Amino acid sequence: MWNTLIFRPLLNLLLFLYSVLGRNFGLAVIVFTVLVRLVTLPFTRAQMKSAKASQEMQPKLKELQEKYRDPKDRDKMAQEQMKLYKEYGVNPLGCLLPMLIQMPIWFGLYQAIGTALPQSPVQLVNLAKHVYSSFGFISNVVPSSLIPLNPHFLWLDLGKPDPWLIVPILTAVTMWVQQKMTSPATGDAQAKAMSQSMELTMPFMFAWITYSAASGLGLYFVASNLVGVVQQYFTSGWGSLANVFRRKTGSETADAAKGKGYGRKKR
Amino acid sequence: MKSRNMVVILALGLLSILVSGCASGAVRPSWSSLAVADDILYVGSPSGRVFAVQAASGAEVWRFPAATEKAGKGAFLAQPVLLGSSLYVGSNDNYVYVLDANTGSQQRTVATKGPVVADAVIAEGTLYVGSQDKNLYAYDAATGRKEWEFTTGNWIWGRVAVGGGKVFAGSLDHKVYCVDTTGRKLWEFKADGGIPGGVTLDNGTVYFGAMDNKVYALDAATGAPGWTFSTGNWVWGSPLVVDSVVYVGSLDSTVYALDAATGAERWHLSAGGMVRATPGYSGGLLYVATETGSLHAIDTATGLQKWTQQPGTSILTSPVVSGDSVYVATLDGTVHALDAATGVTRWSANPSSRK
Repeated sequence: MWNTLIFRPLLNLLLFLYSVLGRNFGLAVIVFTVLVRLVTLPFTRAQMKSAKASQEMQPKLKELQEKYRDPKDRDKMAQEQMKLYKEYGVNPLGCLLPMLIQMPIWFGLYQAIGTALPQSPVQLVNLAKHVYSSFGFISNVVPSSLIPLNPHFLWLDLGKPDPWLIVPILTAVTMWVQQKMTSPATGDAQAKAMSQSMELTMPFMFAWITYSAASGLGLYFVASNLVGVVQQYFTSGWGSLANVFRRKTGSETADAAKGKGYGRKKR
Repeated sequence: MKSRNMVVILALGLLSILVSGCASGAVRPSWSSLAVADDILYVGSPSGRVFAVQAASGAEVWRFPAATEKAGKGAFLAQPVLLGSSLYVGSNDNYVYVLDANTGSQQRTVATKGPVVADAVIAEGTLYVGSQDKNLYAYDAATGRKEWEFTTGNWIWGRVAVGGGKVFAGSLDHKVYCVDTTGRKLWEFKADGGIPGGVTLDNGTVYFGAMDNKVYALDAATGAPGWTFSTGNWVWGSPLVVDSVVYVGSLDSTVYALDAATGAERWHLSAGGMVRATPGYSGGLLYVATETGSLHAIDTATGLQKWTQQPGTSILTSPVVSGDSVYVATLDGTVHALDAATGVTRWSANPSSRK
């Protein structure tokens, strides 16, 4: 089931892209990333809209928190919060869907990169088992003369971890930027602390994954994050990222409270 | 927001475990290798040990490294080669180990710069072996001193052939190279696919299979192409030539018998699973192992199957025949001894799992 629906299609798509993109596996991974981003675009847009609405909702949420500060009013507060979510069209779990959709792709891609770039004879046997000899009316989808693939891209051997740690660092930085752009400016101290902790934990974890895994997977993460940053910018601008730089000038707090600094400047 | 964070953390945790588990796996999956001589079966194992067992019973004679050493070496995929009282076997840790065949003690090592998957070949006192570092090496077999190296464009996984003052090696760079015994290139031939297996030299002709699904025959003197034969998938195992017939398996799950002079097909037999390894041969019977774990005995005169057995789940190693027994190793490291005439199992043992 997993092999038929996820792993084999991903593996053969990667090999097909490699064959049509000048036998460049790095380029194949990048184009593959863009394709994945296009497929998940409807979900991503929904997530971004939800995030933007969530940011716009923050001043009213803060008002509610002020109003129902007494712990006895917790139930009332929850009811009002749900009303607010409804009014702004915010789904608290809406952000999860794109990530959940991408999870099987991450697993499948990790498996596909390891399989496409065999380092031992048994791994090559495994590759032979999963390459499509034909697909519908197309025969010889992946010419076997391509195998073994050229794993080199820039300074990387995409079948092995990056020895210079540049890819793990890029993964962490791009993920942090993307997260900063999407994280809502919340007035709740607990939520804020949680959000800040996630903004650091996730890049660190992905950097560690990239450090341990084939750099081809890291290349996917970096490319995916960069596409995400561009998408996010055109949806809601720099978001909380703008405040990071503004903080240095001392005007961040006031602007955040006024709801400024999230949108892309209209021309 | 909290539930979102929890799901994200759980998913990331799962991904981390998967990635780190796979990435840090020191023991890569590999197959066992077999060789038999003087009633002793030599087994190179994925656990990084070499075992000598009694061919008749499977009882252990010795193991290398000794049982007192907890850690093994790199996986031994290459077939052990016996010369006099020395056993030569390549390892994934970049070395060819030279062991005392009687005791298993290490005599010396020969170093390359990549995993040694290819079987070593010894001819006229010289050890020839290809490496995953893309080089073909020649060493003095007695001392281990390097004589020369010849660089190809990709990994060498197959056994070289030596004869008539020439050395023939296939590389995953799609080429077969012919060099003289000083390492000077005489000719090269480019196929349409990588050459993962060994080359065979017989009667002035070089035979090999490639990942372009073809079997090739070349003139050993000039490299001029003779004939090609197309199968339905990669041809990995070295062709076996017996009495002017070439026997070769393909990953299209078929074994073929071809006329050595013309490449014309004499017969073929569907084996029901990918045939990666070179078939074994003895007394008019061909022994063919498959990736799905079956072993077939085929009458070479008629191409008809005499018996078939299913010793395990996957056999990627060449069967070896000695006396009236045929030996195979399944991917889990278990060695099976079967009656060569009937296929009845005589004993099965996994040397790596013994204490």
